[in-house]
Amino acid sequence: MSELRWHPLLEEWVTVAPWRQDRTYHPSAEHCPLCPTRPGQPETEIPEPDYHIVVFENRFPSYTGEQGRCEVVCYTPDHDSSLGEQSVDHIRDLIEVWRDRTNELSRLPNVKYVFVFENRGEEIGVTLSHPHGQIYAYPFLPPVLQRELAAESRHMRKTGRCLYCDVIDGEKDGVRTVLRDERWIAFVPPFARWPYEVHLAPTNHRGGLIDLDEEDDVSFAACLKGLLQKYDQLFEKPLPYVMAMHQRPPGRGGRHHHFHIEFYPPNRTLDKLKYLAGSELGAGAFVLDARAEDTAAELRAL
Amino acid sequence: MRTPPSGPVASRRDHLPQRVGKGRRDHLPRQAGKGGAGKGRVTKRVAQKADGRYLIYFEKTPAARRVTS
Repeated sequence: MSELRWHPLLEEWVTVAPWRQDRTYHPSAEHCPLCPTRPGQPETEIPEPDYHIVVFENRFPSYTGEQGRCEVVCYTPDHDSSLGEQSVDHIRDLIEVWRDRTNELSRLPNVKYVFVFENRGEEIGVTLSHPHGQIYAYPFLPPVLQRELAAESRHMRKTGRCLYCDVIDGEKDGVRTVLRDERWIAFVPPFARWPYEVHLAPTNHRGGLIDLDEEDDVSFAACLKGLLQKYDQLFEKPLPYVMAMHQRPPGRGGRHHHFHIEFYPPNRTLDKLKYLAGSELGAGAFVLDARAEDTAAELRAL
Repeated sequence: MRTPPSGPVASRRDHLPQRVGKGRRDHLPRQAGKGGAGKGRVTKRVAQKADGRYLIYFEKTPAARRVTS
């Protein structure tokens, strides 16, 4: 199992998992471990010759056993596809899978938070190009969520309102809106830390995947697909990104939380990346060389 | 979050936020047809790999396939 070490200056946990150094690194397409097993070929992570959506325990987990879980979610058997290329109907199935895993992992004894995410693209550090996401069930509340939940609680105490509902309310004029329908909105937040950062959120107050109704799911799937298609149109190439779902933690702790998904593409232009350097890493202060209103207009126009 | 340890570096064994629960093999995913909050669009089939890790196939339910195809 991993070793959790306490960072006394930042008051957060650092997870030490040395075996992850040996994880599979950029295998060729014919040796992809996330493809179905082809007849006569060595067995991959998925022994069957085809699948719809598959989830399995990560072979190189950061958390396992009584600490938590690390799962891999294979979106499709098609090696050369992507999340944004899936049909809205398929994405609705995937939402149900994410919900099932959230529900089940939340019940494990030591799990304090279930985090659904996707790393896409080599620029992000992805080592397997097959379209897939991951789920971490942490034995602690991760620091970003801890800060977010604390801010939401303070805002609720002070105003009696949901903080994120107020953030969405601030997008009424539409200048930072990328797309929206009756139930979901995608926008570049005024406080974005990445040039093409987008938040995707239900406009009605929902705490997490398990709080969405069927109409929410339909809209969520369509808006997610729409956003990812815009991303890939932006520079006419598959845009790398981190997709991070911020849902409420298990139990009563996050009762004021508003579910949303944050996307962080590292590109600032077609061929230039934003790197986290001195100010961001050393001081925790992001400096951004783009205005949310401008990048939102770019994405909206696609 | 619990009170941090006094030393500059602490091992997980001493400072895991909570240490309760069973070993991993005691809680393989439930074989139920759909997740607790599911809408019945997919069904679940749980398998176990040779090294003990679980694998869950989510398949389109026949009813959902009829409605959406």
